[in-house]
Amino acid sequence: MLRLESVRKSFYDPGRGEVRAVDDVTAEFTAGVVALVGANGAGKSTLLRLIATLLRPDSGQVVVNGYDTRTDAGHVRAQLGYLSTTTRMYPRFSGDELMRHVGGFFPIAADELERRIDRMCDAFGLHEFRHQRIAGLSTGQLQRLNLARTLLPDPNLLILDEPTTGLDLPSAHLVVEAVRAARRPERLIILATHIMQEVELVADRLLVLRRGKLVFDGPPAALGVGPALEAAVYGLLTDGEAHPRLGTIVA
Amino acid sequence: MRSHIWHLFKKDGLELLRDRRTMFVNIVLPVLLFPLIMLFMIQITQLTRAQQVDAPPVAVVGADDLRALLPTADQDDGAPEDAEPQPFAPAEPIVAIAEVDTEAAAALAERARALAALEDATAADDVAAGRRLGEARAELLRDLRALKLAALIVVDDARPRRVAILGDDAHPEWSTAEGAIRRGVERWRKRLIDERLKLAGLDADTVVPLELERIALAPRAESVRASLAGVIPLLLVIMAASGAFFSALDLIVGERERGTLESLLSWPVKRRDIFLGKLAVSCTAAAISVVLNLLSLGLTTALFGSQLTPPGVEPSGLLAVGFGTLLLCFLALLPLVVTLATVSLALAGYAASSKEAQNYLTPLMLVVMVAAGVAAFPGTRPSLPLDLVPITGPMLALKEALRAADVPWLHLALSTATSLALAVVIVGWAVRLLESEKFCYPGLVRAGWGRFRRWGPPAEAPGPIEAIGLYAVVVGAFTIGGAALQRAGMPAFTIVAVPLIACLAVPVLLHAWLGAYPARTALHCLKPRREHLQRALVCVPLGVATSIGLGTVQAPFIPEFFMEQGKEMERVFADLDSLWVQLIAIALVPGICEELLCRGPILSSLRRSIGGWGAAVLAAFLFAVLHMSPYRFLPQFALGIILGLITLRSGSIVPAMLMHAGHNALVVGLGRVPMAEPPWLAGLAMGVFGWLAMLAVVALPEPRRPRPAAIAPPGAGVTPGTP
Repeated sequence: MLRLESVRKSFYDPGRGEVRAVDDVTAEFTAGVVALVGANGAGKSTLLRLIATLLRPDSGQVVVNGYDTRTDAGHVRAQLGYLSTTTRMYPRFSGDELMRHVGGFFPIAADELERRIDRMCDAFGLHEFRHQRIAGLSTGQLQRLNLARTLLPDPNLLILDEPTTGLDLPSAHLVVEAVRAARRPERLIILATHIMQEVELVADRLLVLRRGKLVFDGPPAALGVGPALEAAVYGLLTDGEAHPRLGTIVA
Repeated sequence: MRSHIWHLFKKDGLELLRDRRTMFVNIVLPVLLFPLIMLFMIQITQLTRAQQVDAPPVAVVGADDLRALLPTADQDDGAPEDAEPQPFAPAEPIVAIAEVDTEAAAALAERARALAALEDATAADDVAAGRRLGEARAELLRDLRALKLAALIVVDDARPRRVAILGDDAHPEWSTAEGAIRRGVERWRKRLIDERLKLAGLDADTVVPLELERIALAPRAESVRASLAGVIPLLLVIMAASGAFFSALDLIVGERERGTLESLLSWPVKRRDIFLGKLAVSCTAAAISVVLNLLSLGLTTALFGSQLTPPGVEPSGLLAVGFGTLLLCFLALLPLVVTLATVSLALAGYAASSKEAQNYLTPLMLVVMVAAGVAAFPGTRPSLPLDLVPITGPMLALKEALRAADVPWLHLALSTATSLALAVVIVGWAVRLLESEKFCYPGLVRAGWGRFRRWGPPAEAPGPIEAIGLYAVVVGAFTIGGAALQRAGMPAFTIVAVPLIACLAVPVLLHAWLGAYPARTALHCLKPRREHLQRALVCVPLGVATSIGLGTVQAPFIPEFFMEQGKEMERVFADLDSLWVQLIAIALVPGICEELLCRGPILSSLRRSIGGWGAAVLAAFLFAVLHMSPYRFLPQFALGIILGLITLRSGSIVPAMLMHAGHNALVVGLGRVPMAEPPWLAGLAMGVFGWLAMLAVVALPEPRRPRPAAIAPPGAGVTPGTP
């Protein structure tokens, strides 16, 4: 389904010089749910953007179902659903118009598109606000709509970059449920998150990134369950580095 | 693909329409502003006229008759008393006669006489006399200002035919005073003529044997159209540019800043379709802006026409030019609208934020206004070289279409083709920009340029805008440098060869070095294969035949001025000492230097944005323009295409250099043999067949090469003695 081969991507930071956001990442994925965990700035979003064809690797290869993201970006995008923390929606459109607009880019027949929109409205409870302008929706409603439009074309590869960030508990719960419901035998879901409970609830496999490097790749249970998992991931993310002594500030 | 463009057009159009604030500020407000501005102007004028302005005081010395004839506030100037004052009608100039006592008048008259005598006696190169003259003028001006006079009119008894107006031309009402004095003097002269004719027993017809009567035959619409010919294109282009700019900002930078661009780019839609969909919206917005603004301006000028025109003149507004004319303007403007919208979108895409985009668009707007404003100058006319100048060319063609009875189809077509060609290049560049990461994440991946690049691999070739910028700089330097050397009276070899080396080749190499572009990809510096060199050599005689043929074909259409220019160049060539010097200056140096520019960065950059054929044609066009000689344009353009194709085919610039130098060398050789020009039809046949033959030679399939042998076991398959 997805193959990453020695993928590297660097950026220039005026303060730090060249920053290796993704550094020699190699992995292969089949269907299922993969959780991607890393500290802020570890390279999660960059890695997901590389898979989503929005960035090109400096070296290495990203291959989705046999299509290289450099040379066959169109084919990759045709089977992709991408939702990131920075993704916004057209504020002057209604939810209904947005879904029609998204559906227009995929080879979906008009009556089939109508059926899918209705199905998404049922699944995410969009009926009450589907004709309202997006600018007036709450954060939770927006994220439900965002998930609906991402799943509308029925993608084989679903990339969700911190989809529960900023959501209240019921909305976050709904998103996690949506991820579980979106499981399909031939679908790969990559979920970037900071919340270990979400990892335990949905993920078959866990990737931990530190400073662009893959430091763990395996089932979450291999690191532990509950607080043990959280402690293990914390250890991987900090690599034993001492945390600033916040206690001295409080004192 | 088409459905995606239409889909994006609908989405972006709907979004733009729903952005009511932007729509109001950029489209509705200008439409409302025209009548408001007009009302404001009328109010200001009426208020100004209502103000009582004192007539400028003047003194008259030695001409009592003139004093009585000067127009003053007390005099009846012939204007009907019940006439309705017109807001924009100029008021008749009047003066106030200042009473100066006899002693002061005598002193002023004496000073004026002294000044007149100094004026007559002072030679231009006499510095001391000039200083005395300046002092006398200053003294008289002090006296005038002490008496608060705008002017002093002196008629000397010794020279009664001379009326001297000594004026303080820095006085705020000087122009009014001068106008009134001229009217008074004219009346006086007429009265003197009448008196003298009466004394001689003659009537007025004796001195006025002819009278000029003007009868205007052109319909009102045509005369208004001709008088507004310079202004209408300027107005139209400003309206189109503002319509295109605001939509470009919203469509590209707005989408990025609203955070919707990331989604759009992750959907299976080609970047080219995204750009074309947005371009269609931007063009439509610009076209709507032009139509609405034209309607508003037309209706405003029609409504307030009577207020605008002086009394006695038939009122007219913009609509008086006729609907057909406005439609022609609109249609002629469309290619330019496409160019403006393309440039705006591309620059907006290049910018990291809306503020940065505005920084780019503001100077662009200035360039547009200057380029279009040139066409509004009186006396500017379209010409073949000017047709190739973006914005100015179409504006001049449109102005000529409005001025002249016949539509200048050639100029309209050529300038339209230039606009569209420019639009194609910029679309190519913009699509390439959309493909790059910095379009979606401009701040994240911007790495700097060339040797100043902070990180990452260097680019393979410059972008098309950068390459065309380089072209503009080197061609400007080449033209100025060549002209300067010619003016300095340098030897012919220096005039011909030095600008080519110093202004073309050196800057191209320096640019490639500074830009850290690999010579192989950016300049096509690669060792050529033998068969491509052979093809170039075969093309040499065919190229000369094409040049002679096409030169004959276009000769009847080239104005005499340009043919003379060509002969001037031939005279410079003839001054070159020997055949060897001629071959170096005319064949070898241009063959290397011109190819280095046109088949180097220009071709390599265009190939990456608009494909091989488009790049070969556009590079050939620029190659032909480089020579600044319309009498050689067609042959050079045709030859340039082949030079581009052979470079692309071989991947090396050397065959093109060989063919170019060979072609020029053969032309030099043939120039020593007296030859008759072929007839026109024979020239056409020679040109077309020569060019097609070259194309066939370049396009011939590559000879099959033996495949490299599979790795053979040691010692196997090698026959001793074989090379």
